[in-house]
Amino acid sequence: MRIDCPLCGTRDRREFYYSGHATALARPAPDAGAEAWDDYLHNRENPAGITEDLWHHEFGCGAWLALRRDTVSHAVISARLVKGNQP
Amino acid sequence: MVELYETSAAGARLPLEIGTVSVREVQAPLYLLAPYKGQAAQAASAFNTQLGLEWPGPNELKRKGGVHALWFDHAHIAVAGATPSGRLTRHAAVTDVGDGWTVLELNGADVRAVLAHLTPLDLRVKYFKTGMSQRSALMHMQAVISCLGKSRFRVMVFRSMTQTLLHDLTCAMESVAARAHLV
Repeated sequence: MRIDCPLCGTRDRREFYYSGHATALARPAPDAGAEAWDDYLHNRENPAGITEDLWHHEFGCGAWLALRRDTVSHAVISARLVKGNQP
Repeated sequence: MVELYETSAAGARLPLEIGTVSVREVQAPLYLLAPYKGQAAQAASAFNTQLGLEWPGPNELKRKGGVHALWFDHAHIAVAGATPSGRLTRHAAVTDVGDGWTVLELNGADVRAVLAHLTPLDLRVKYFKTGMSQRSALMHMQAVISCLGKSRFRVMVFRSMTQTLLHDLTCAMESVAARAHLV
């Protein structure tokens, strides 16, 4: 598996640390209510298909990436820097 | 301030020569530079005025005389061989990390084959060109690998990992040298 780091270029999967679904980027407002917070903290989709998750380029530039990939084909579709690109 | 003695990280284990590859330690001042928020252009300009070097972009190494400026990570560049001036500290956080890193220079015909045993980087001349500096893994270590020529590289790892680096390098060098005798 190869990942296209927007800074370093195409790199081996060994250089990256996986950190779960990109849900972490969409933190609810403090007063969003128990249901929104329950979703944010505990509930995750488990799609057969396209998903977006967070990867840390720990052996490279140290940046956090949001990676779109296909869980069925294992294809890596795109990667973007989290820094400066948050919703 | 107390004057501290500078000591070698590798000590008597270097220089080392196995097969066609030789390794020596480089002891030089080393600083990390991180521009303050919104000050990237001013920092690059002050940097250029002082050192006569461009601010390195991702995977770049800029050299002038004995001074190396290299892209270090998503937020930093590193300067080796010179001490950044006070003027630069107005636009960027400057940190002396000279006691935190070990820098080795590797020379010789098989240097790319040796490094290929240790890192997932593509080491072919076409892809790892002179004037590039890449962050990657070197066995289990987070390393900076810079290309100074077709068969000349610099490798940086945390100073506390020097003996591990020397062990891994020696194994790879012996392995490459041994294969040369099989043909």
